[in-house]
Amino acid sequence: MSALSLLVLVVHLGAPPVGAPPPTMEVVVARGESLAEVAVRTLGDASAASELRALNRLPSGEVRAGTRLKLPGAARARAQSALNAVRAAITQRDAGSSAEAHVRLKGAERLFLSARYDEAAKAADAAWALVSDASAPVHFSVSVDSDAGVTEVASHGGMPVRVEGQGTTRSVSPGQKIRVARGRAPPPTPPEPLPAPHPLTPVRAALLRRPPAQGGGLEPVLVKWVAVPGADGYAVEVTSERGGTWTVDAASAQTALPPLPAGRYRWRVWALKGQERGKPGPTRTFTLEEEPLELDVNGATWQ
Amino acid sequence: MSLVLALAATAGCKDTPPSTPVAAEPRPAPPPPRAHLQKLRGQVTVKRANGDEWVRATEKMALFASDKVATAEGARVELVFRTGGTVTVGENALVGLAETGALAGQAPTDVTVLQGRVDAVLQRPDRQTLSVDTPEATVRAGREVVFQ
Repeated sequence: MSALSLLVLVVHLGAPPVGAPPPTMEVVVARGESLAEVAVRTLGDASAASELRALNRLPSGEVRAGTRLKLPGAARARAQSALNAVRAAITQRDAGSSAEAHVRLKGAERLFLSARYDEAAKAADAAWALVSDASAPVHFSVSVDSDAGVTEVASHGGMPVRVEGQGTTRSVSPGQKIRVARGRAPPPTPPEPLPAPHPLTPVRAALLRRPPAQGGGLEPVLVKWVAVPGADGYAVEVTSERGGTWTVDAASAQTALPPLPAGRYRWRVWALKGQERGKPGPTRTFTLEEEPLELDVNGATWQ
Repeated sequence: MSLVLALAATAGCKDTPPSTPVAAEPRPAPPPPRAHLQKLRGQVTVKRANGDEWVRATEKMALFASDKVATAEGARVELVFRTGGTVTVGENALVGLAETGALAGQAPTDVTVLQGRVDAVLQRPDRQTLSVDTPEATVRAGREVVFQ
């Protein structure tokens, strides 16, 4: 065997096989450290303790100091990315069309917590396919300023594009833009604004009649609108044409307005999520009249 | 495989022809183009992967791995990829078609943008993918990217 062929053989044997998994990372449990604390230290999330337990086939959630624990590899990031993608897609859909996807997502999350990352990614993708409009063309732009060392990515239509850098992946949805500086991970994309709730009832320019309410005004008007996925509350604003504005908070997609005097009103709804207030829905009007008193003359005793 | 090649290389010395005639191996077919150009406007030039000169681009010109495309001020051109995506290269831009072999464990990209702006469209993202690489990031579109 020649020196050249020997060298090639050595190099060949020394190189990792193509497609081989990356070297496994390990961590040693410190004194007094719980599995949840190890999960926070290594994966940034206490709930990842169940993953560590599954990955290392631990009989219980208790670990002794000095125990060497295997850490998940790149498959976890891919699965996490797939889960994030389907969560975002479900948020953008109404509850009715995403029910099955939601069930599949839960299944994918269970697989993830069991450290079955590849299966979790596939399950998440199956859920994602149910709610993503994959048939619409994707349009995005990429601008590179080589002098400034900055790349700007903007999504203009279709399903979100994914921006990868420094081991981090971000999803950029239509209407969103992201700037990536050289040597930096893509920053988080700003949260999408809550969509505007669509009003249902009273219908446009409705004429409503209510009997007088005890304490003044007329009996309350019930207003309804289409629920906004992701919203944790709503704010309803009612304005009288004679002056005066009422704001009512609602936990669900309907609420009773306070007793209002007869008159003409405008109303609209905002979706709320924490401190965030979305765009207002379209303004609707209704006219409120006092219901005529029904006189029961049949039982009268006078003549 | 490398060992076999190495042995073959050492065995095949110029001064000592092989004792048995070796049949000439059929020349491998040239790789298919990765993309072609269309809708040229203004000054658009192309540098081949194995060339040193920039040549003027022409309509329907085929592009291969590692070719580069440059646009001057006011120029633009569309790159139509065999995989289905279309990338419109704006003015004052420099882009390159990705090399054929991606590193192990890394998904391949279609085009590398070194300077300027590109607008990309993927008509069938349920079946196609399109990846744009830059010095700062990689942008991927299409369904497969979710579980690659």
